[in-house]
Amino acid sequence: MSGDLPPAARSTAFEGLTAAAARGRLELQSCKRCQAVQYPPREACHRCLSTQLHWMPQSGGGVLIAQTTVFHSYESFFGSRGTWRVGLIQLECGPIVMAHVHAAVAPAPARVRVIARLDRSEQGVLIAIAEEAPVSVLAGTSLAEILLPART
Amino acid sequence: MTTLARSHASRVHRRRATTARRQRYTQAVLTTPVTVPYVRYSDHGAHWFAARALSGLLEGSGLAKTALDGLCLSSFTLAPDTAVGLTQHLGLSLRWLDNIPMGGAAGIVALRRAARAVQAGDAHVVACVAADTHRQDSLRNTIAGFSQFTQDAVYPYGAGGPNASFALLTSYYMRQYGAQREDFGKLCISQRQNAMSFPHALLRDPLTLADYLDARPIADPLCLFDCVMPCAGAEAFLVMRPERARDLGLKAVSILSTMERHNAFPEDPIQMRGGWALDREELFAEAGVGHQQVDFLQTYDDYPVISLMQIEDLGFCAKGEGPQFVRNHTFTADGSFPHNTSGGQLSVGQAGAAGGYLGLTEALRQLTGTVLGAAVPNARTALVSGFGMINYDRGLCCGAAILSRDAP
Repeated sequence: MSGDLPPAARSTAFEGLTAAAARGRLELQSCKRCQAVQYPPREACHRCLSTQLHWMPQSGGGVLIAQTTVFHSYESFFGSRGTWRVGLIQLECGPIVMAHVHAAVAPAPARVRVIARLDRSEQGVLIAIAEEAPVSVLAGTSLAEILLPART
Repeated sequence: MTTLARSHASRVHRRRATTARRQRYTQAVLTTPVTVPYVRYSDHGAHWFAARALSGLLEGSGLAKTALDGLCLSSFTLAPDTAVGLTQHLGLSLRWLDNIPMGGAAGIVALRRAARAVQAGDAHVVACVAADTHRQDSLRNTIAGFSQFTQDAVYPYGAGGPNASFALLTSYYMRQYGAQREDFGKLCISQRQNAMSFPHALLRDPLTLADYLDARPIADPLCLFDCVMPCAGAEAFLVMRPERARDLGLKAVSILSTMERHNAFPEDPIQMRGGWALDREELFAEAGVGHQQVDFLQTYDDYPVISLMQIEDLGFCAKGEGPQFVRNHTFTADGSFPHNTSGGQLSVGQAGAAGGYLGLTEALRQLTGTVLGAAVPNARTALVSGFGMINYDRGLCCGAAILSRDAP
C-alpha cells in the first residue's frame, strides 16, 4: 500500500501538467497544427494526429457535470481521510477533466474554476473550486492536507 | 457505353456490392458452455482457471486436446503472460490464436473473431476462454494501472476505481432522465431472484428493496448492491462448424448477427449512450428478427445503470425511457422481459474478463435447454450484449449478438 502518499505513478506525457502545477498554473496540452486542447495528456493530437503538441495556459472555467463522494477507496491515503468528493468538469476550452471538488462547490450542474496544484507525491492534480472563490478557499480544508504545503 | 463496357461496369458494381455486404454466420455455431465455479478469493493463478475451463470444454464436447486448433483468450490477471504464454503453459499447439483485452466486451468479440476464423477455415475448433483469479490485492493493482489515462487522470482522485466512474455516470443519468434508486434496485432484485436457483452464483440470499436502499454507500449514489463483487473464475465456449457439432452430438446455437463498436460518440460530454445505438438497426435487420421476438436479454451489468443504457441503446425503449421501462416490466426468467437470467454479474460475481462471457454462456444454456437455474419458457432467440473498458471517463468497447436455437 502507498500509505501516506497519494498515487504517484504518471506517464511521461503528463509531465507538462505537473511542471505547470509546480508554478501554480493550469496548462493543458494543445495541438500546434489544429489548436485542439486535450486532456488527459497524450502523445499525439486526438483530432489530427499531429505529434507537435505544446502546453498552453488555461483559465480553468467550466461546469461540474457530475460528481460523487467516494466512500470506499482502494488507497489508504484516501480511505484514512474519510469520504472524498470528485467530479467531472466540462471545461470551456473543450476537454472533460476529473478533479477533486472543493466542499463549497454547489451540487452538479455548477459553474467551477479548475486549478492545478502539486499533491504530496509532487504530482500535478486538478481541483475544482467555486467559480468566484479565491484560491485561498483551500486553506484549512481536507483538500489542503493532500497538497504540498508550500503550494497551498 | 458499349455492351461490353456496360457488362464490365455491372460486374464491378456487383462485386462492390458483394464485398460491401457483411457475410452471415452460416458456417459457425457456439456450443459447450462451461463455467469454472467462482470463488471470492483464490491463491491459484489465472492459468489455473484457464486450464479448468479448457478441461471443461474437452469433457463437455468429447474432443481430444489435440482437436483444439484455435484459442481466443481474455484475462486481466495472466500477466506477465498473454495467450501466447498460455499455449506453452498448457501444452497447446495451435494454428490460430487471439488475445482479446476488452473486458466486458470480450465474449462478444471472441465470438465474432472465432466464428469468422472457423467460417474461413483458418481454424476448425476454437476455444473461447475468459479466466481470472482474484487475490487480496490483485484488484487494486488492476485498477491502479488499468490504462495510461486512468493512472494519470482518474486514480489520483480518490482512487475509487470503477465504482466512482459508474457513480458519476449514474448520478448524471438520474438527473437527466429521472431514474430513481428504486428503478436500479428493481433490476438488482430481479437478478437476485434469478440467481437464487443458479448454482454458480456467489450471492444467492434474497434481496429486498429495503436491503438494497439501506446498504452502505460506496460512491454516491451507488451503494453496496449496485456494485459487482469481484471474484475468481472462468467462462468458456467452443466455436466450430455446424456439421462438426452435429457429428459430436453437441447442442449448438447459431449466430444471427453481431456488432462491435469502439469509442463511439467521443464528443458526448459524458457517457449516456454506447455504440449499440449506432448499430442496432443493422443488428436487427441482419438477424431478421424484431425486438418482440427476442425471448431474453443478457446485458453487461457491473452496475445497473449500464443495463438501462443497453436496454435503451439496443432499442427496447427510447433514450431516457429506461426508468419507465423498468417500472413497466418484470425481469425474472418467467417475467415479461427476462433479463440476466443467471443473476448476472451483480449476483453471480465478476470474475474479471469472465464477466464479459457470463451472459453468453447463460444464453447458450437457455437456448439449448441445458439451464442450471431458472429457464425462460420456450426460449428461441436471445440478445447478448457486452460493454467494457473504462479507459478514462467512459466504457469504450460495446458489442452485441443475436443468437438462435435454430440451426443456421
